[in-house]
Amino acid sequence: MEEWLEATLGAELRRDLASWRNEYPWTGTRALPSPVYRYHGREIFEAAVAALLAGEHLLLVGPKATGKNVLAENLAAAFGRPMFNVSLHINTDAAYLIGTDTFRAGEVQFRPGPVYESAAVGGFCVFDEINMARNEALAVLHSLLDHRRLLEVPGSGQLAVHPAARFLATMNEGYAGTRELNEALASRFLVLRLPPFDETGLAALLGDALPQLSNEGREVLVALFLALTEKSRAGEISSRAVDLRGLLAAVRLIARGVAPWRALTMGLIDKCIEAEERELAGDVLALYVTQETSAQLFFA
Amino acid sequence: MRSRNRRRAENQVWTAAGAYDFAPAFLAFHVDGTPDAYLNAIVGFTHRFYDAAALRDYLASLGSSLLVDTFTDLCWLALESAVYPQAVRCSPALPQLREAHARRYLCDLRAVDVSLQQRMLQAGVVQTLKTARCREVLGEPLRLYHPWDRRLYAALSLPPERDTALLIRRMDEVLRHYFVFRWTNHLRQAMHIALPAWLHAVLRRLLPVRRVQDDTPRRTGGSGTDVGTAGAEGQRGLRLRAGGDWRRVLASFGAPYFPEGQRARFEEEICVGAHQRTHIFYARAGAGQAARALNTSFYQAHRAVYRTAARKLAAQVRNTLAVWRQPLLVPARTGRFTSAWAWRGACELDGRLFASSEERPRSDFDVTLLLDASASRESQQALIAAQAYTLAEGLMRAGLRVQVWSFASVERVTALTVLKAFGARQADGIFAYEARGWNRDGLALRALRPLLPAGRRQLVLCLTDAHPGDAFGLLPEGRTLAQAYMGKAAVRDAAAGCRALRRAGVRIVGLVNSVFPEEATQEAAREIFGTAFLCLRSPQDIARRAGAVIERELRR
Repeated sequence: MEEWLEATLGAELRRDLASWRNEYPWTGTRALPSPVYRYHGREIFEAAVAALLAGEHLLLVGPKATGKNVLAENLAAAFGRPMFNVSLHINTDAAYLIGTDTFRAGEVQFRPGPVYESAAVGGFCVFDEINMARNEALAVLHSLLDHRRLLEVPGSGQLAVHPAARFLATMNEGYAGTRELNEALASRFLVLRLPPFDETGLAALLGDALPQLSNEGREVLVALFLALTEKSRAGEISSRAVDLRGLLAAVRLIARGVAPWRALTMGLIDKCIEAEERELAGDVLALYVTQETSAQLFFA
Repeated sequence: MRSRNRRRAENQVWTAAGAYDFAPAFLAFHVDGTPDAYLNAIVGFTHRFYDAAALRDYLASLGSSLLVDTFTDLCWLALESAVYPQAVRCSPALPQLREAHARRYLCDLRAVDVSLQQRMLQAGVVQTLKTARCREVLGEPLRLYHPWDRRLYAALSLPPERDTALLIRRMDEVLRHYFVFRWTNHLRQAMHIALPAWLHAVLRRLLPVRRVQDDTPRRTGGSGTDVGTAGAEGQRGLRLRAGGDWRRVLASFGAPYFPEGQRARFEEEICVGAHQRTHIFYARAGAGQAARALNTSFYQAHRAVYRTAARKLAAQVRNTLAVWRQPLLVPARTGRFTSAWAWRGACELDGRLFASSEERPRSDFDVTLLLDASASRESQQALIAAQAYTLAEGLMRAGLRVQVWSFASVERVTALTVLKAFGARQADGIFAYEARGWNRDGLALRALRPLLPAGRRQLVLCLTDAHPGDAFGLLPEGRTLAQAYMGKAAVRDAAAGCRALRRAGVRIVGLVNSVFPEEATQEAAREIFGTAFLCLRSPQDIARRAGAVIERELRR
């Protein structure tokens, strides 16, 4: 962790972060996050750390697989706070976030939700896909996120938010099921737009995920992914095949002995719904990997 | 409509080129019409590594020769040898693709049942050298027995030069050395002469050459699209003398959609009042090859923009369907405590004392696109067809039921032509849209009513220029003199037609795109549609603004 922080943060920010961690040491029982992937964008990471040190909350915006959740997890780990993940959807309501009544031992009891718990102990609460929830449901967060830093729970009183608590949100724009974020809610966050991975970032990510990947194999995978990205940008296919998680999963399958063509088809090509789109995406794959290509190309 | 194979071939070229901002001048297909992935990749890599414009110009300059096809094929043979060693560094699978291509080529050569003429052509220099190249790729003996063939083959095996000018010079030297007559040359079979263009044109007329289908990259149209029959008159611009037989007019629109008895009943109900002595007709789209070719060609030229618009519209509508759902409260073990159910817990019958909500999507309405097909739309015919196709595609992808009709009026007959019925899975019929005649909007809107299914909400999107007009006038009740169906009178009648639809519970929105002055158009549109209209100025408007209309309808 310290080595990575040294490579990713400037000296002043590192000092401030260390000082913050001393001021708010984690003493609870919940495990701290241990990220599998490190976030490699120095500029973005420094801006995020500075914002959180200043007491602000962050809204991370970008297309899928640009590292929004990876960044959130890395931030929680860097700050030494537990992470609470809240996946939002169309049916999310205030009860899901704050807590709900339940029937236990013959009486109605309040069961706190993840937002309540996080605010109480000073965790880093991540609202994943925040723009899939209805604005009416998210309105309960307003007093949490602004200068008031408190939460009113009907029937259970008022909760003052722990000073170490931070709220991060992730958001894709324009995807199915997403809506425009309410302006009042959006104004309570600082916005960081995460760019799609370029060649260098992709290569670094693949190197992190699978250190045993050969240089040649990494180049082939990066070129394949960028070719699919370009085809999606040109409007010839949708973004379904441009799936970084699918790419990583495919490479892990190759490491387990699945033929590269089969693995990459499962991870990328067959994500397309329309047959014509699968053909076009499959033709891209055919330039890099054929059915005869062996795993030795990727794992020498 | 661009075929699936053609689209695939183009994408194969673009992938290798790493660029999508050009229309490939050459595409390669196997004899069965499927795209040749290897050769299309070579075309793409050629674009990537060399000055594509210079190469294109050079290959185009070969058109002055009688042997333009042979020269083009030989140039591609040379280009392939130069490009392949460079391309294989970018594409690790290219060697396997090359071998598969070679095997397929040799297999097709043996298997295809060809005519004698084609066999004679196969014995020609191009087929001989291509066969040798494929054998070389597969590690087989070349079987080039003629020394001239061997020398030419060696000359066409160009090194991987990155200098486009040098590459062109080398290819040109080979062609001049082996195919331009000099008395010092040893010729292979016959004299091949480079001719001036005028003589070439005369000889081609006297000696037409028939092409043999093979997989050498073939030149596409000038803009990269198929050359259609655009420009043919077809059935455009029907001209009838005054008092012409209206039944003949009906026949010009196409086959009837309804039986004559049913049509007559509709006419009796609808052609009343100011529209007495007019007729209505419901038709199935005719052949209209000229219109179809023109519309299709336009769409293909702008397909990226329109396809993106359709995709965005579909996503927007699907999103709205997902978002605007009605909540349904169901008993659950967690959620909002419902005091009325507390007795269940007290009696230990059931722990579901709480209310949880489930939501369901709504899409209980149909969409009808009604296209003004009058002659005033002629200059925008292709644009309107593209807009309508994009709308229909986008809405269909989102799961909405869509039908598309056009209307025009000729000789007292207002005909509605079906371009896409509800049950049709493809919307390609929209490209048969053809602009001619007048537009008696008020009557057309009234005539639309029988086409709207009962029991479901109906949304009509009318693509129009908001300028109704007809040669046959309006005959208001109690008057003996007809009023011209023009200007304000026609606009008022069209507005009345809209009101009639709204009284029947149909929601109608005008999508206005006009060549007339904007102020006059907006004023007319306001009178006809009220506030329910919007102006479409660009393909992007289709997704954004039409999508907003659909969203409002879903939220009602």
